[in-house]
Amino acid sequence: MSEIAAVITGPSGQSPARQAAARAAKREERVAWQLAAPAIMLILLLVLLPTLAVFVFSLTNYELGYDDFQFIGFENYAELFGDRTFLISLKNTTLYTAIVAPLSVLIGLGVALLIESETRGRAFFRTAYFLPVASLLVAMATVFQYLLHPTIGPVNAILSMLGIAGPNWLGSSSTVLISLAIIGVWQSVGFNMVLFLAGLTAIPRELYAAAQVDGAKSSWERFRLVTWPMLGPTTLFVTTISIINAVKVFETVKTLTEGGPNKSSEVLLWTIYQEGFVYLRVGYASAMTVIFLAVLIVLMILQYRVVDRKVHYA
Amino acid sequence: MSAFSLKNISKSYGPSRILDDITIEAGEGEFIALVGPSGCGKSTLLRIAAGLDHGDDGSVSMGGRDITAEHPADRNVAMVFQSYALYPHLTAAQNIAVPLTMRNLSALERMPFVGRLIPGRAERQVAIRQQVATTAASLRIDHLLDRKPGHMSGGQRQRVALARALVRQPGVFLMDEPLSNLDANLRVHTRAEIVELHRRAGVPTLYVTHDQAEALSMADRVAVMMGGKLLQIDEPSRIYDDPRHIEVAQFIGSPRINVLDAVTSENGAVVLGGNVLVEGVAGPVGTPVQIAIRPERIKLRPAGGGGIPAIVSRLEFLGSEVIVFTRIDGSDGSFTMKAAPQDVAHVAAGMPVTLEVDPGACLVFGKDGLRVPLRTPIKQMAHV
Repeated sequence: MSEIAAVITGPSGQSPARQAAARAAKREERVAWQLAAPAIMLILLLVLLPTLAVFVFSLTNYELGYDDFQFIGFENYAELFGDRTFLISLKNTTLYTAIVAPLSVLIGLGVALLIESETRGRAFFRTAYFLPVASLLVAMATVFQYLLHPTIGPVNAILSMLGIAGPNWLGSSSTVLISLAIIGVWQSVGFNMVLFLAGLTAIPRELYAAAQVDGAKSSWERFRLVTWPMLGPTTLFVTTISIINAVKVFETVKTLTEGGPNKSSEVLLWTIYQEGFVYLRVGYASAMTVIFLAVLIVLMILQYRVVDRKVHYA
Repeated sequence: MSAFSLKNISKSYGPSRILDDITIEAGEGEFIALVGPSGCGKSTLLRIAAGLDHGDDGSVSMGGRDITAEHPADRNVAMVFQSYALYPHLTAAQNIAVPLTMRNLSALERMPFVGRLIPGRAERQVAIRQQVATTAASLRIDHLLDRKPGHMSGGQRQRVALARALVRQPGVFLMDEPLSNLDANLRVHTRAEIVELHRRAGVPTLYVTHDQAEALSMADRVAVMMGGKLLQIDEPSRIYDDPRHIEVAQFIGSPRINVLDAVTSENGAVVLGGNVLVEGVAGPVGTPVQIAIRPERIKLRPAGGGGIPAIVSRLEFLGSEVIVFTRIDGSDGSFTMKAAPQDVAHVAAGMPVTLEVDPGACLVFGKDGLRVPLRTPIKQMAHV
């Protein structure tokens, strides 16, 4: 009797079915690793390694062109927080983001609501608002340079017709950041609008019918009761993307102001670019990049920790 | 005066007329089921009743007041949707409270922070909470009040949707296929519950469904709609036994009613397989008609007796009854009938049988689909 039992359960003491299942599971695991390997390799090579390299560089005094460099610990970071240019750049980037992100989210939402509520010309308006996203900002910057030109620009021409002396939009330190912010809003509204439109079409029509029957008479009440809460996940995503894009402002600064006048449009990416590619101080620029990344990551974590739980209801 | 009425409602989208002069008047506390195949316009009619849609013609009135031009928010109607349409970001309690907060609190009082400063708001909120609690208790969902719809089963959501409709004591209940997202068991159970809730609330109810069994079992009166037309509105038993239109006869009842094309002979008689099915059909000899007979009014007899000779083609065993499908000898007509299992224990497919039609079971319809009156009701099926 015990011999028969030994044959059935096999040498390892497990039933043949169990053994087959274990073998199949192992085989499946191996295949899974094989299939995932290319993606893992690419993430390592293209994303994680470069990030790590930037961090390592930031601990050195490496300068492009020199063969030799030393590890200097956190000296670069210490220098950063005493660097007036970097602090101005941090302040300007924050200010720029504080203007561009909320405005482009709110205007994007407004435009999406307007387009959604009217069937006529929907395709036209969608395309028109999306054009700035598709167009090349560097090319469009020349148009803005003309528009905002203090003497020959049409903006100031119109202002002077109304009896207002227009400022030197891009040339004066008091208005340059606002002018860049206006261009930033102009550029990102269309993208936000498209995301909001997608979010709006996902809201079930019956909810609006229910809201009307329940007594939400004005469109504002229906917006508060249905649209705004239902758009929660979209709004979170749009806000995140808008902040990231605003913090990354570079093209307009590079083409229109080069950080000036008098460092009043000095922004993070511009400062990094100057240090890394003009002064070739790779170590120092890397330290800035790490700070830049850290700021973005902290923002994202905060946002998702605080808001995410409030916008997903399932 | 009717408690709620839709008068002469018509509506067209472009060239297609989706509602054609429909009048439905619901009495105090009356439950009316609107039934018809999908696309017959019943849901549009309900939306017009709610004010979510507008007819091209006709009027809606509630308690003698014309509300045709009123906004849904002002009509005091309650609606239950097929998808339940609960607000996913609000808890069950908040969902149920929405109609009350929208009506009893001003826009200022509903504001997040400012609202608290307004005198009288706290008392009104307590009153709302009490009403929500009472309604929830009557539907036995008190334990769900803090949950959001995403964390509830279909049946629970359904109850919250019903509670939201009940809490406001509306002038009329409108229900748009509220049971069609539930599984079969729960559906039959909830049917009885809705009827009970309706009886207690005593509010006129329009209930849209495509399920004829639901309509027959729940409603005081059933309105059958087809292609935008109201074909008949009547008590369930009359809809079933005395349909005014061939399409009503065909839509109501399961299995489907048997329909035969025939022409009248002498005395307005319709003869099938040597049997006079019915006599006294108005009109000249040779009038084309359609004869309809309910499956349970045909009896299966051994072959060779006096009746319509037929051959059994298929049997469907349903537990308490058996559906027998037969082909009529010498014609391409077929008859379906219902029988008790013990009566057909010996019957198998391919077996020749005789069919006997109950006297008076034949409903005669003209070419236009309308019921044709009989001059002399038949007493006994006669062999000729």
